[in-house]
Amino acid sequence: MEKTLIILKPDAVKRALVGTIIETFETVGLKLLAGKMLAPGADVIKKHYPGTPVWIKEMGGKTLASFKESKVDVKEKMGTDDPMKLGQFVYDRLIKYWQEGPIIVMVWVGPGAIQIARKLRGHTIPLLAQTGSLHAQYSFDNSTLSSGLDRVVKTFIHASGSKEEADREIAYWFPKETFKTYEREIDSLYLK
Amino acid sequence: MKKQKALLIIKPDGVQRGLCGAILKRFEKAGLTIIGFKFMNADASLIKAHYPENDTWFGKVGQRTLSNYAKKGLDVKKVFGTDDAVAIGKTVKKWLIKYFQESPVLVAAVEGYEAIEIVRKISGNTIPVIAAPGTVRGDFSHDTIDLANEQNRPLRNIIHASDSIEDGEKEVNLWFKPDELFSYTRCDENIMFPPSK
Repeated sequence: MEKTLIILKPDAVKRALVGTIIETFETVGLKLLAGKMLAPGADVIKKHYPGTPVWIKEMGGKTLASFKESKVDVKEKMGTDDPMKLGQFVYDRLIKYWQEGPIIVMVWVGPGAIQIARKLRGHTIPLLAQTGSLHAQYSFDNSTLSSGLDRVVKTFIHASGSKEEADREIAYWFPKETFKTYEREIDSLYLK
Repeated sequence: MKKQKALLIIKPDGVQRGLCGAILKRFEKAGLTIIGFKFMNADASLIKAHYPENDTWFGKVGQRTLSNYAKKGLDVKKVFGTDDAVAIGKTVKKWLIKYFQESPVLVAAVEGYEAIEIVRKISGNTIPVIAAPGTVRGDFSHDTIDLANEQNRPLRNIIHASDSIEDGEKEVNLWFKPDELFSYTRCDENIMFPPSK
């Protein structure tokens, strides 16, 4: 059965949205397998991301694209349009964002868990997230606003993007966990 | 005024019915701060340490069972093999240890002013059938003592919430190591409790 990693970032915790978010995943039928609160240091957060030059450049590219989409002059706002520099800028501020308070890291399991969690979470940027998704329902944040305030977009829920990402992230955050499964009330209706 | 700590455990019946979020939400909405959170398989020794291990407590639990049986005119010896309150209390504790291990549990440490009274109030009477609507137990369960006795098991009442200030401290420290507890300010804290000028 597919597993995915979910992280509730500091603003989700400080806004007391923990139960609400967990409820969303539970109601759809996903099964919570592991969870813990922690306040990781910069070095730990840094390694959650691939952090390779290719990845940094890709992040910069995404930033460029979202500026273009919102018709904002990236050079004027950020002082550069070099994807590498933009990517590094985002990476540094991401790490700062994650340290605004404790986070909650969880593993959820279920058929198609990765896709389902992503769908329920919605687009990374809350402004662009589909109505009804958690990012849409609980935040108005967007890249124009965030860059004006010298911070990243507060993507308050992380959900693994692919099988490879999920495997890597789960092994990273729960290196010793054995993930014992258990029976949920709906199992007999859908899984047998 | 000092804040109090309270321990919440969403027990296997709550977890297996997918009620963790719906329950946790209620405590967050009341303004309590989650300072510790873990979803875990509790081993027998931890659950054993969670409940008192002395004759006073065993006797109290056993006595409660005895009076319930007496009220119903049921034969306590048939179920427990004894009518000694302490011995009955010990059996109930064994049942509780088994119950807590039916699935993982969600353990949360919460903090707030008068947190103990607040968590008791939100959780409701420990006997689901008596628990008021609007409480966790009243809204999510309706187990009864009679049925539990008939089936030789403890009441399935969804949630554990610390009973006293001392228990709150003790239980939070039992289930969480110091580095698993966090201190932070909720974004609405200063609106709920404005800092004195």
